[in-house]
Amino acid sequence: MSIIEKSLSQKEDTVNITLKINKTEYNLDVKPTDTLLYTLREVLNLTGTKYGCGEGECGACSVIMDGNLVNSCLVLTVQADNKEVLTIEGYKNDELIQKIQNAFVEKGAVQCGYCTPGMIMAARYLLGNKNSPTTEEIKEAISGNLCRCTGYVKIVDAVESITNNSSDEQ
Amino acid sequence: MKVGAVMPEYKYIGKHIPRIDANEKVTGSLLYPSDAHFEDQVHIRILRSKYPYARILSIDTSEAEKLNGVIKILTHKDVPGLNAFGIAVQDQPVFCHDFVRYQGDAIAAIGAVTESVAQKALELIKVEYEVLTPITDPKFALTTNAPKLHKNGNILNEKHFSKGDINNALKESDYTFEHDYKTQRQEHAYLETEAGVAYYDEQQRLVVHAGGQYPHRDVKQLSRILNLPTEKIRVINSPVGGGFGGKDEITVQAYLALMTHLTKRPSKIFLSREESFISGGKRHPVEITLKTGVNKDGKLTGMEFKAISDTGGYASLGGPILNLTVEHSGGVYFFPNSSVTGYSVYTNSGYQVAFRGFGVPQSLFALETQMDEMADTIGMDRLEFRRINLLKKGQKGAIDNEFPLSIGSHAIVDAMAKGEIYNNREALKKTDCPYRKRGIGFSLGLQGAGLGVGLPDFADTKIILEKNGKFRFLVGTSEMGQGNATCFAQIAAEQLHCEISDIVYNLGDTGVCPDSGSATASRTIYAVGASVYYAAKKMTELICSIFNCTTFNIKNGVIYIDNTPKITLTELASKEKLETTGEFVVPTATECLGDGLPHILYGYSGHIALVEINTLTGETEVLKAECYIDAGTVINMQGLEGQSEGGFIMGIGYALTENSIVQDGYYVNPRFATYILPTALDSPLDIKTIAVDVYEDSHPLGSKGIGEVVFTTVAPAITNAITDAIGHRFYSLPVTPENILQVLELQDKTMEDSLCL
Repeated sequence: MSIIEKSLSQKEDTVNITLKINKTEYNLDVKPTDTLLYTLREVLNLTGTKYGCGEGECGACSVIMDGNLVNSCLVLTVQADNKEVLTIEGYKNDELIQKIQNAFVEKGAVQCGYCTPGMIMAARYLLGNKNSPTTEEIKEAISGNLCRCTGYVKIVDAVESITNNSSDEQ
Repeated sequence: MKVGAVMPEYKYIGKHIPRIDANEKVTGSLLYPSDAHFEDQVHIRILRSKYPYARILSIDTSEAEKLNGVIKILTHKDVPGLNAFGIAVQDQPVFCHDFVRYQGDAIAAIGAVTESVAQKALELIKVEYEVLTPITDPKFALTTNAPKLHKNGNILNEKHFSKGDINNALKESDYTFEHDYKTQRQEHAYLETEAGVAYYDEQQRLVVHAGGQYPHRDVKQLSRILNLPTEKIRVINSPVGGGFGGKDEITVQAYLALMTHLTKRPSKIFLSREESFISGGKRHPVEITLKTGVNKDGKLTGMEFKAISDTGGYASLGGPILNLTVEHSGGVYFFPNSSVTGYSVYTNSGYQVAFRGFGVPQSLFALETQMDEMADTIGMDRLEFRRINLLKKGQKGAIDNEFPLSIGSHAIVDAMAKGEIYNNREALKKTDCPYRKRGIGFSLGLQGAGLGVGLPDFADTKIILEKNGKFRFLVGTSEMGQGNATCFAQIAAEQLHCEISDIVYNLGDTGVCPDSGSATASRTIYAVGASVYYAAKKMTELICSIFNCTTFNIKNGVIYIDNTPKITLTELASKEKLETTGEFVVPTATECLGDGLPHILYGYSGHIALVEINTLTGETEVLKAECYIDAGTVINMQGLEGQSEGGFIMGIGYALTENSIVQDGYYVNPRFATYILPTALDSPLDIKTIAVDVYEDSHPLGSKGIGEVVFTTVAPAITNAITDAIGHRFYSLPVTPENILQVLELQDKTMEDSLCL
């Protein structure tokens, strides 16, 4: 945020909140109308979370908040006060995200890559709650995430490959 | 899966090599133009037209300028150079001053300290309009009663071709068929909307970093608009969050460049999805009348094709797109006689631009639908009917054009006939569910590669051995997700006998890369790939000449000659400045049949789809598909599959759900909630891609581009499968559940009526 923008925004009502993002705490003054997507991208510079439509139709801005998969464009930042938010940048501490990332690379599930962080968060949510989802469950889990490049085949394949791996390990 | 020629033994080409840009994409660390950001950036919002067609009487920005936080407001008065853009014809104003011609037209750009201030200022600008009745029907636009939208009238381009004697041929045919076809306006729906930043670099060049498909051409367009020499402007347009042709024309680049040029501050723009829908170009809706003749023996006798293509308010590439619509009207078949007519017409219905397939899918939808009808009428197998009518080398196409290079359609039909779906078609069509019906559909097609005759179509690549011992390839073409960077690295590493990890690259940056042409027209693997090949080959020869050897190997950054370590790449780089360039010129026809026509190189494809119709809801589910793609030598099979599967799903959208509706000049559904894209639940997982290797002699590796053919023929395969399932033929796209239910209800009623008798 620029200095001028800060001075302008101070004139409006702000709310002081604590955001816990990828295990780091941030104390922030935010406008009541700011969305979590805006705060992540524009305030905290966490640009791995993408804007695709701003109305919950494309899933590019998916993050995990207190264990739930949410479209961060539909969450007001004040609603995230004191909640744990996991974004794509949180992969550094999250083995499951790393596994999904490796599978996406290996299986060719990435093309332009713009939907990829949101897709990975949707897959992370699914696999975090279910070790061995069926193919239909995988399709269902990513059905809120639009991809215009891949045709979804390789994305489902990537998620499924982890399922198989984890069942091998058991 | 591969069918065809025997491949030479390659280490990387044709092998499973993961995308070289995948790591930074899966971690979210790759910065797209929409992610770029500067502390003191000017936020830009665009004031768009209130009406699809109106005369501008006055523009008053005074109130907006007084608003605290507004930095600069730009209108037509602030454009130092040409207030217009357009790849082929510069008829689109950067900022309108006399007329607005579509709903997305730009009137002013507001630069402010925040986006919300810019938005408030936008609402304070007063524009007085004289509202005019928009032209919404392209047929009306062609009449003398219609107002002229541009100074030369409403016809952007018209084409007339004929071969033989079409009237006589149709008169003497055993059967003739005639139908009117209609295709819809399709949205590109790249996930990253039009966005970017502008700033000055350390060499004081004005840098515009925005998603695009041909940075060197963007520089030329910006140079005209800014009245600045091209060397003062640098365009970076990779990475791109999807393009598909929709970012070939400039979108936000001029606003960024002007704002930074006039304020001397960095600027940023990021269109909302709705603004992207309303201002962005779409696929041309085309109305086609197709008349064909066939004899009882199954031989086609002639084709009469008339097309009217709706280019909307401005030209962009509407002219060349119509050229391809007419050029490809005969598909992969030989018609001894033909008459082909096409008009590209201005209207006030949106604005149409390049889109994967470039005017060809519209023609092939009409032709491939009619091919099925002809086969059914004469009682011939639909694939066999297509096979016996395939155009062969030496025969001429619908616009009397020649096909001197590889023709992949024969190998495709052979492979299709051996395929799983064709051979199990009766079994696959069985279903136990009483309210579901299944069908199988075929289609064949082709797509011209490269830009055509008379248009400069070349690619340059530079390769440098850097001080750190890495080979850097510099390519001006954009990477918008196709995977070309990975293929270029494979081609370079193969020639240089090194590891993929020895290769680094820059793409799509005019500041450092040579002009490699556009990322369009299925040309990057073919043309740019060839130039990478030649640059790498020259680098190899250069290294051989230094060490007086005929070949070498590179392992762990060390050059081995005859299995003996000779020198490390870093040492070599410190001793010699090694730099090579590779050039490739796309071959073109010797005779020009009119601006850009024809192509001589075509890529081919064939699609088979199995669909299931729910007769209670009218919904179509695509269960299974085979995509036969003539790629020549495949560089990266995973990349080809990715394009093929993605093209197929985009084709499902085109066939079944996608329709960007413009009513009285206004977009009706400019949102993802109402513009229905296929999701994972609408997409079959059983999509097989079969690469039919027809070696292309004009390319050093025998490759062809596939970015468009993977889509071009998909829709008719699906609609033909629907016809196979329910016995009704559809002549317009998309075929929605409502369309199907209507037909089924009518069929039920007819059945009841006949039973009552």
